[in-house]
Amino acid sequence: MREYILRRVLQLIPTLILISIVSFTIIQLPPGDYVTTYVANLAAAGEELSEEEIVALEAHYGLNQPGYIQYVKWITNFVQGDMGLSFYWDRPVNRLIGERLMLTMIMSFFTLLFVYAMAIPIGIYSAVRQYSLADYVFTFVGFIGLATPNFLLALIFMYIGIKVFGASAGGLFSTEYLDAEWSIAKVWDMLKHMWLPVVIVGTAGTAGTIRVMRATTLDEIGRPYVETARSKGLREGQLTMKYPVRVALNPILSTIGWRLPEIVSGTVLVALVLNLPTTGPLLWRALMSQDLYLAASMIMILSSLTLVGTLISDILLAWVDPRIRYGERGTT
Amino acid sequence: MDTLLEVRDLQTHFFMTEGIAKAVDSTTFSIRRGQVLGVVGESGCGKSVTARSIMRMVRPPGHTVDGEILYTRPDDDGQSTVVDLLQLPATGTEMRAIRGGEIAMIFQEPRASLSPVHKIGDQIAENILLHQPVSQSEAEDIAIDMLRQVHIPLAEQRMDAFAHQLSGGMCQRVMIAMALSCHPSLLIADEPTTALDVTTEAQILELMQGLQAELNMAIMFITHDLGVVADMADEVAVMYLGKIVEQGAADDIFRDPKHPYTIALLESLPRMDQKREWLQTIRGVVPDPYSTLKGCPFHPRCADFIAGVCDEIVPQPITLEDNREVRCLLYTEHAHQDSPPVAEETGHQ
Ligand SMILES: Nc1ncnc2c1ncn2[C@@H]1O[C@H](COP(=O)(O)OP(=O)(O)OP(=O)(O)O)[C@@H](O)[C@H]1O
Ligand code: SF4
Ligand SMILES: [Mg+2]
Repeated sequence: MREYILRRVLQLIPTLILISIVSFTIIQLPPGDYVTTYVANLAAAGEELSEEEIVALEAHYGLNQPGYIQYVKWITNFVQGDMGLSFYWDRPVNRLIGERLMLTMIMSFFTLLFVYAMAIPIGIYSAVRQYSLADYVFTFVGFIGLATPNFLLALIFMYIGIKVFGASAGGLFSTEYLDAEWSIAKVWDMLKHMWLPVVIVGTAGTAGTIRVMRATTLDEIGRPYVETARSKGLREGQLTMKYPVRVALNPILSTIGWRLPEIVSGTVLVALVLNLPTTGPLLWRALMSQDLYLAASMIMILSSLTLVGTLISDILLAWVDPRIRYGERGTT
Repeated sequence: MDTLLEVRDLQTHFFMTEGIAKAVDSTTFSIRRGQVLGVVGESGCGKSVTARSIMRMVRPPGHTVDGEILYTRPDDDGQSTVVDLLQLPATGTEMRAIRGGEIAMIFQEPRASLSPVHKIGDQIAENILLHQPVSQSEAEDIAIDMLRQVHIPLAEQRMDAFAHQLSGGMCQRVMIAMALSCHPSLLIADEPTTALDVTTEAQILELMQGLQAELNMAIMFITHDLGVVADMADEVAVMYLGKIVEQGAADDIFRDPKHPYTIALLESLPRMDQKREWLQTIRGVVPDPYSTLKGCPFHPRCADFIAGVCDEIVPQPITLEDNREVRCLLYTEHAHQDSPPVAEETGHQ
């Protein structure tokens, strides 16, 4: 098992290098760079820059150097924890991303927690009580949850929030805590604001996971090994949890890693609508303005998170499913 | 006659949207203590459902709607009491004590019958812990001992193995070790060797015979292979469309089959694959279980069909001289009458 984990961690390194190159290249693919965009914007505003000024600007941002040198410089600094300068904000990327990244991660964590805490028990219940009234209700609600776009949910909740509760549903903090230092009160304030976006972002995932959990549990309940367990004289509830549910959890656990990017990108739209200080809106703006280091660093960080997520679920999967742990599969 | 299990008029039906499938329809047979009963019949005739009915493991939409399953339970004081398993709640304490403790079962797909995510040692020990007042480590010792008894090499190391690391034959040995770990008085084996190759099948059969003699338990051996039955069984029950059409001592049945269906089955020996062809090309297929055929269920395929009798009267089991039970009108007075009487044969119940 330890060998397996080590092997997987080592495999991460080439993947990360590849991702860094690809993301850096892709951002530079659109014609021009930050300076050309900047100059064009100024020109649109009726202001002209001289040739020397433009060259000086390019030198200032390091854009006059060939792409691979820019890359090597950026990635060497990145590995040491310095993500460079944001052209647009004219501030270090580190400072810009730091808090937002943390908030994004906290929100993703709670969303994941919400999704699994809701979906797994409901999925199991629906499967065990197939065709019961509750099963129909959950299936119907889940269907609606899956079909409603997140941003629409966000708008509906905002409307309800304002109309019914007389409060703004937007943001992650009350006004008085907005620029305050971190404190217990601020954390509590954040949690009070966070449940709403968590529910909104998590709804689709919950609905999807209920379906997967229900289907796999149903599938496993009919397997011969469950009959064997029953033929031993195990109690029904006990045998359901110990055998089919245990096996049905495997694919759910294995997709935690894929859930993460799904949630992070799912947050972007909701964050825009709800005006959340997470990474989503920032990344969007960085891409629009070709803010090279900011965009590349954010993509790099989000991809790393995804890879780590995948790694974690693979390790979990190997831990719960011996067939994978030993790198072999049975014939049936 | 020391009867261990007596099944009377068992009816297990599946309530489907297409209709009611009478998978087991008035099945009557018995198993004697320490004897091997071979149950044979074509695919879909209800062998597995009969077995699951005895274990009270039929799942919806299937329900056992009628009948008696009289099981003779040994008491602590050497006496014995008869319980009707159908009167016990299927998931209640008493039935769960019998299931796995006194009546155990092994299945057709040995590897799929073991959990893919639990060590085989734990799966065996679980059965022991459920039925015997022993500690975890004692249960593991018993499990290792059982693995040795079914001739699994390196039994101790094998305790930590998972099903996918073992061959099909090994998996079936593990299943047998698990089933026998609490010394059941009846082992129900539902086609335990069908999924195995011929050599492995022979080894498993030999193992089962050895253990059966050693532990003096009864086996209900389900198969569609008459050759295996000839090897294993003391008694034979032939099943057709949810009913036992003939039961008797194995020797008698192989020497002198009475029911036309048994005769047809035996004529196809030893080439079992030809049997299917013969029955299908000459006599059509098994009617689907939803059909409500009048008279004898076998009459559309029967070589001895008596027009006006077999398609009118439902044959009831009758006992012939060598303690054989047959469900066929040939052995009743109807066979000698020109017009069928209105009253139905009551026969032996
Ligand atoms: N889960 C189920 N749902 C609906 N009908 C079923 C179910 N299980 C069994 N049946 C019905 O019961 C009949 C008998 O099935 P059973 O499994 O007992 O046959 P079998 O004699 O064991 O056949 P085989 O040799 O193929 O194992 C089938 O033809 C089918 O109509
Ligand atoms: S009752 Fe008639 S149809 Fe049925 S098996 Fe006997 S002879 Fe054949
Ligand atoms: Mg079967």
